[in-house]
Amino acid sequence: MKRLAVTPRHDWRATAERLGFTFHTMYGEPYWDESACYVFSLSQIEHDIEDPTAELMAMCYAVVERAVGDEEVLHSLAIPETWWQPIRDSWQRGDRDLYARFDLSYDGREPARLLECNGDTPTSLYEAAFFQWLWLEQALERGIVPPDCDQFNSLQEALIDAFTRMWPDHLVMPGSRTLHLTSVGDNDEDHGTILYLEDCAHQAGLATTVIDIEAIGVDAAGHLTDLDDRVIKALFKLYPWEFLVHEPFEAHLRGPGAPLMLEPCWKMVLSNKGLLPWLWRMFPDHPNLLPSWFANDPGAAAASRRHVVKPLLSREGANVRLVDPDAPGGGMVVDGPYGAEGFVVQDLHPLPVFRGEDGRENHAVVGSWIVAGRPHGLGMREDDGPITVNTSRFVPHVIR
Amino acid sequence: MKRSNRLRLLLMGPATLALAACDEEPQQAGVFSTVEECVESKTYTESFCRESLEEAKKQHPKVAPKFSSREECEAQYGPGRCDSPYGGSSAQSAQSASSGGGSVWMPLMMGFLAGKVLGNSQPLYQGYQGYPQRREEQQGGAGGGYRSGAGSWGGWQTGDNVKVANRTGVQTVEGSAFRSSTPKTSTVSRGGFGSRASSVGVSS
Repeated sequence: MKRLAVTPRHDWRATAERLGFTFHTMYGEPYWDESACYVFSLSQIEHDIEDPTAELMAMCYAVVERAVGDEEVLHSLAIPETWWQPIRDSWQRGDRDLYARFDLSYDGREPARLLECNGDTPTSLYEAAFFQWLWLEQALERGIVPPDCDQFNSLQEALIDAFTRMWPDHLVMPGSRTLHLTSVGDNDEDHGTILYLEDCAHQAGLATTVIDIEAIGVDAAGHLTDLDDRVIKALFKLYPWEFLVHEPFEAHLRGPGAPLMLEPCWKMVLSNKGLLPWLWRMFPDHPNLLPSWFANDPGAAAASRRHVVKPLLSREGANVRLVDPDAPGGGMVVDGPYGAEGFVVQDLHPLPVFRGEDGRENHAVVGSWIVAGRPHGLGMREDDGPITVNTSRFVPHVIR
Repeated sequence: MKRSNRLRLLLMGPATLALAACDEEPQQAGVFSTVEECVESKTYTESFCRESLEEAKKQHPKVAPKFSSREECEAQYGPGRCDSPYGGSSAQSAQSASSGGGSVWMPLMMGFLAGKVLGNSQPLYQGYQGYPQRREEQQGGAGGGYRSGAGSWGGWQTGDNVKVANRTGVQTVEGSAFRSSTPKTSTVSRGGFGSRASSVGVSS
């Protein structure tokens, strides 16, 4: 595994804009960065990333399986009690999940360690699944990378396939299978991700409608409705379950009239940092896990002096506190609005640092993507600091 | 190979416009208010006209725009041109009865759109460019009649509010007129989601 400086395609910005990648630059800083790429060996990809990802996903499902039969788990994750039964029902009914992303700390030598599971609303999907793929095709064509380069990326194919297979028979109306897709109205990145998923759903033969989440309505019978007063039968939401369950319309997401939800509500178990201590408890000393505890668990005293404190519910690195007595300043903290539900403590496994040609120190995290339960691709993010946040740069990768 | 051979974007890429344009190509169709009109057009056989009307009637309750009051409906479709399919305000729809909600109102089907083949005909509604109506005017005639001249009848439109034509007869209409309509309901409230995202990022 190494970081290789490469020449950016001269027309990549125009290409990005032509293809709907409007958020390639965020807050004035580059987000998509093709001045370098990460190079993995095939064995690193298959043995160190792909296989462990499949195993970790199976372990995550085991935690959900336990959660639906063990109130202690649901309670520890701060999931409202009104949602315990809907979660059990959804899991037992076999509601399918669409996708997830594991963030792994991996340096090419030691086993990859699971930092967290983004089980509910992962973004950077379009970049990983499509734009990264297009970059490699063009980079090969133009001789920017050696001709024997490959990439770990069958994400889009897998998404289309999952959309084709997810549809339960009772939702198939004659001539129409309509999926609604929703996100908050004023966020370019989320909206771009929604439009990409809409494209995949469309390629899977579904009719699609995109709606801002604020615009969703309910009818007299309690069904969710869109702006044309059509009942929403199936809804992909790029919006956290842990927000939905506290909002005024939450009751319309449970019960017989509720739409088919993507992700299903049982994904609440996997989009919660409390997953980490449960994994560690159920699979102690697993080589791909880091020791983790709930902060209020006396066992947390066993944590290493170098550790990370994360809120149960948090996004984009918000409210994460890195404690490292050996580092200048003793660590770092990211501000944010989260933390009310409690915290977990995880032993620190610092991200590997790859020095760029410009001398910049790049802290790199491996995003390992899962679609319908199977590993299907990889996306690298890098940051100047040791905690990956929303603006961390996306850098393509190759296998060689 | 660990990557896909071939990927494409259908909606996000530049090909989108061309594709959408193909779908929506204008086509020849008949706009009629009665079977007689349809037969007189000398374009369709009598049985085709009858079956098109029957098909449109079947579609009507499913695709007609729905309203929670007669007033709201008549504001868009004109006085006397709305009906409650479940017997007016005295009886309620099966849906709303279960939740104790109000009644459902929809415009009367005023015509039908006949296409090239049987099975895709659509019910048509006539829009109303209303002037504000006084109640006594609305109730002026016996049996829900209305006084003409109080507003003007607009063009013919589908249940999806696609403007089809200004007059009856065989003519060229937008392809979108034949887009299959989906059953509708009526929304009683919006804005119950999204409040928690006001200031924080929601993706990960």
